[in-house]
Amino acid sequence: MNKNTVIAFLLIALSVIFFNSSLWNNFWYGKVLKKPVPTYQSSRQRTAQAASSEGGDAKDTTTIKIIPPGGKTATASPANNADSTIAETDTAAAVQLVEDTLTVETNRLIVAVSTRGGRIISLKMKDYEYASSARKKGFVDLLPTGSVGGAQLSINNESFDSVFFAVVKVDTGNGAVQTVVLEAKSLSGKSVQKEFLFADDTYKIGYTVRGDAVVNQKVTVGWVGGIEDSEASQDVPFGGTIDKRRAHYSDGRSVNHFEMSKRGKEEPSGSYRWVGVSSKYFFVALVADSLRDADIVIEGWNAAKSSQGASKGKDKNIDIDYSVYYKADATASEIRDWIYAGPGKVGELSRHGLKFEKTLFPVLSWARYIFWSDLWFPPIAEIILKLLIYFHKLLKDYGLSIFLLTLLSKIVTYPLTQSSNRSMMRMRDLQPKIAALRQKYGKGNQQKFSEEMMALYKAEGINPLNPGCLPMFLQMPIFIALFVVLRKAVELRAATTYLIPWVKDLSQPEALFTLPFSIPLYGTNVALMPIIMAALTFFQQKQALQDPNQKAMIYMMPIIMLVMFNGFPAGVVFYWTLSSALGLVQQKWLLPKPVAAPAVAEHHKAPVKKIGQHHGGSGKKSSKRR
Amino acid sequence: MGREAVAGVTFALIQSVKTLFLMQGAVCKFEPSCAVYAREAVRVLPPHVALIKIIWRVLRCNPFSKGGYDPVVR
Repeated sequence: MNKNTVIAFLLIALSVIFFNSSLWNNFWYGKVLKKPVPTYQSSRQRTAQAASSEGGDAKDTTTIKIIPPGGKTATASPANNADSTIAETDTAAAVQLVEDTLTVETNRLIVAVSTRGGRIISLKMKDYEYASSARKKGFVDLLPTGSVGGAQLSINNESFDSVFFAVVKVDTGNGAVQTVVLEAKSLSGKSVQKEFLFADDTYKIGYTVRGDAVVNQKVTVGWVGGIEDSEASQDVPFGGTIDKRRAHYSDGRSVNHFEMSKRGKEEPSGSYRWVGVSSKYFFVALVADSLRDADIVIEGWNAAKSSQGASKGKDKNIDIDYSVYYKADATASEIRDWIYAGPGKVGELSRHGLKFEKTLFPVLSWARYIFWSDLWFPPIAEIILKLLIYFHKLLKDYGLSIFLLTLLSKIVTYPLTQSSNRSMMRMRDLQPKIAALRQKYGKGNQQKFSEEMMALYKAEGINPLNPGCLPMFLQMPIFIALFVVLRKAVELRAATTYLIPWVKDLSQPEALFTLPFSIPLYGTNVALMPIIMAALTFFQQKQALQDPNQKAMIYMMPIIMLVMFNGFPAGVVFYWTLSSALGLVQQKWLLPKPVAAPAVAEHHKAPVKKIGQHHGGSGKKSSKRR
Repeated sequence: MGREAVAGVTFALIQSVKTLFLMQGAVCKFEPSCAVYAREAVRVLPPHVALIKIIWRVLRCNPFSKGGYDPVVR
């Protein structure tokens, strides 16, 4: 058995290494589309193209240059431009040929809107700063610098992303609502306005498109910039794979989730209320004012060189674009949307009543096909998250609330663990009898031995006290949910606690000190808590497994736990350490006194230490059998 | 050899679940316990039969069952 256990653990370790290797990653994640470099046309170029397509001289297009931002304002219009409306457009646009950035600041957000395309090019969260280990500094920006940004608009496939908009109104005064209104003209000369509304105490940005150009046209609003990963990817096993960016869309009732790892494109259509992408902690969505008919395109691209420095091509994160095609509406001259751009805080998400909070814990793994985990897992995780927040409200310390959560989970599972403890004690008392039976019937008469065993169990009534293995598997969800919540809760981001003062951030792996080199699977950081936990596991294992056949377990489990947990966020490790410690306390001090049944009392002097709870016979006997 | 290794993996997995999620010893209503049963089943039975038998065993191992001596039957 020893040899097999070692082989088993080696296989598990090898598979972990394999599934984190670039060989596998390239195979599994390599097939996503490469994003084309966004090309900007100036509005003059567009105008010239339109002119040439309308029969104008094709030579015109060659003379047009793209005006760089901050460059000189061009005034000359194409010579052969016969169409007066186009000329008008051109001159109107010509005034605005310099890209300007309008910055609006509320108490939650700092948003930059470019006059080129009227796009949102920067979305800074004032409540969140980059971790000290990240390359970027300052407030978290949900749009990567230099990205195409968000809030794109096109009408009848005519993109406005490179059109220079005129500033109609900028009201960033002291009013409750700050407004930015931008205006441009379409190729057919009709005007279109983009209006952004900003307010305090909300992560909501109003986004309205109106004007003659919208009437009876197919309007497309989009969010091409996706979402920027706010966290530095950790160069540890299990680190990079879990926090993939995800796309979600909803009709306001049910929410569909997509993970853009292998599939490049999703095109749901029908009733639409919102579509968004989420990173580990943040969420950006485009929301329709009311339920509307639309075609949606969600596309995943291989992440461009992440500014957060994805290590060694290991970045499995995918940039996600999305566009919403509103079907032509003859009457509406206004398309009202709004944008949610903020943290994945359950309170902030659920206050809009649009099921945004369902984006927090989507189940996208294979588990949903076998265990229907997409049905029961999100509610459990949500309850645990709400408890965590509630405890924090009471105690103002996340370490303490994690402690309370752990305690609560121990209390919930107390009847189960306690009854298993009790039956473990009684099994110990019974072992000598079983050993005697085995000696009596041995290998020769298996049938008789079985019968005698049955009779013994019936007489002693021991096993009926056991809860059984099924409840053990059934309580796994609670542990997994606790684990996931502590790993993903934005509330723990940059949170500290008095209980473990050397930890600077509960959402980051603890680093007591950093090694100058990386140990495979272990990483570069040396953390204290995983070591404590490994020690606790060792003692616990030593107490629980006294069968010499399972000796390998006693040493393997702590080592595996140490390696595995070293790269995990400190909050998770803290929970697990507490859980181990409480389990040990329960086992040692809360255990009931051995039930000295008169029938087995005489066997108490027998060497019970050698007896494991998983075996019918004593260790000596079972090892002989093999 | 391959079968032995799979048996080892099965045993290690169930044992790890016990360690990770319960941190406790005896829970099983049966003798041999579910983990040992799973290991034996993988050893002596064809894989698909073993899988079904293990699942059935774990399902039976609940607070309402009687438990008892239940070895792997070939």
